[in-house]
Amino acid sequence: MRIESATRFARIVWEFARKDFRVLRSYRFSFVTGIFAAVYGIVSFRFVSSLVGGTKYIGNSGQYFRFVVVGVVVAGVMRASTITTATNARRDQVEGTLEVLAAQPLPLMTLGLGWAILPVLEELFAALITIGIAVPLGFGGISPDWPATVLALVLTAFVFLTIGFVAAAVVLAVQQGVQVAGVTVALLTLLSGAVFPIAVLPAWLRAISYVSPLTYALRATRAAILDGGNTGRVATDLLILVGIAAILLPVGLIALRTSLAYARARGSLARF
Amino acid sequence: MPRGAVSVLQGANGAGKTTLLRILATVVTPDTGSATVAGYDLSGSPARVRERIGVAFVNERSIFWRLNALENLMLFAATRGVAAKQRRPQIDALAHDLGIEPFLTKRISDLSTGQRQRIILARAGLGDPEVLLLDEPLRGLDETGVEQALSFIDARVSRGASALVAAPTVSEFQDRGYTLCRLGQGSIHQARWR
Repeated sequence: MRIESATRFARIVWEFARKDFRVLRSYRFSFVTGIFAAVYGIVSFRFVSSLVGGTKYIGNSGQYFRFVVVGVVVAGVMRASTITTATNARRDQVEGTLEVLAAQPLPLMTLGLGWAILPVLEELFAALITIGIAVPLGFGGISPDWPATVLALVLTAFVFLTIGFVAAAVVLAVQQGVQVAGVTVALLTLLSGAVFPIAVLPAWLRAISYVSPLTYALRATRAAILDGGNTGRVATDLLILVGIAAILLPVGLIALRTSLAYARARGSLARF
Repeated sequence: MPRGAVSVLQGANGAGKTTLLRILATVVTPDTGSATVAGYDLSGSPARVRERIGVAFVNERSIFWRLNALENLMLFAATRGVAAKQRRPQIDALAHDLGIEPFLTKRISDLSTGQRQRIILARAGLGDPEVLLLDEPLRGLDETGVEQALSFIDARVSRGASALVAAPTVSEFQDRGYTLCRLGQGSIHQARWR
């Protein structure tokens, strides 16, 4: 019975992914702009990396480039899980489809994952493209532990999905707030060592970085890709991510449930 | 409302027909009072209610405009819990009943209001729900569309479903054996067809 429910759950989430893919495909130009953005970002960092290195924080310019490429990839997964979940929830509310979806026999988690699944898959695909672009620019010469890398990225997506649920809950309740999710993501990117080591931060800001899940996601992914699968480091940080997810998942689901109940009470499931 | 029958809820604009349907569809929570749908209490077992209802709201934006009709119906068939192998045959049957076969593969944004309304009605029939909650189901339909929509409702009811239809005017529903109810000043009472 449980297997049957899980299969049905997975199939419905997959149907949401297909739906969003069809919508995305109908805007063909967005594919081109997405690839352009990835190329632009990585090429820019390649030139920036030639300015840094030789300090106690970064050994040489090649090391910084590898450091920042992984940072860009992980931050992208975080952004997709958090902001696009909230954006897609708001889209359904504005377009009027949320009300009908709320009248379907769907578990709450299905709706939440339905908003997030394609953006997350898209970002994981973008990660491959980003790394593909980065290899000829100096990202080669490493021996990543691919299973650990995939696990780290999937766990990153999952952890930030729970934060995305909270963001979606806020957006559905007050019909705004996507920008708040955007600011939160920007601050986490700044404080967690996505584009520079947290060692350069003042001590009090570094203390904040230790409570950011992105710090551990970045450390795990960098260890998996750049340290040839430093098993101890990867395992420790992945366990921390699992712990964070275990705490945040119920919080995210409760927030989403409360928000939908609030929207039902106010009759605002469909509101522009 | 009687089981296995069509009840038509008439009321002036603003009387609360749509709000009542939305409450019964579990998308609006009532301030006070209680109701059961297909034997399940709205506040106690909303998930059970959702498994048993098919809804059509007055909102042509309630379907995904960048998808075609078939893709919309396939998605909602999945959300209704229709088994993968049953989805296409069920959609084909609904498409036949409502005359939507010719534009099943057309994007929703390219359809007329009446065509979209038929897609919304077809969606309400997915999964053979026990209770149909239809808000102004004939809105925007031409003569053929009206007849097809009424036949669609009758066919479901003849198979044991119940339907609650909200409409500001009711002449199209007369002489079909439906029950007429009037909603006004916060109360519902059974009425006679004139």
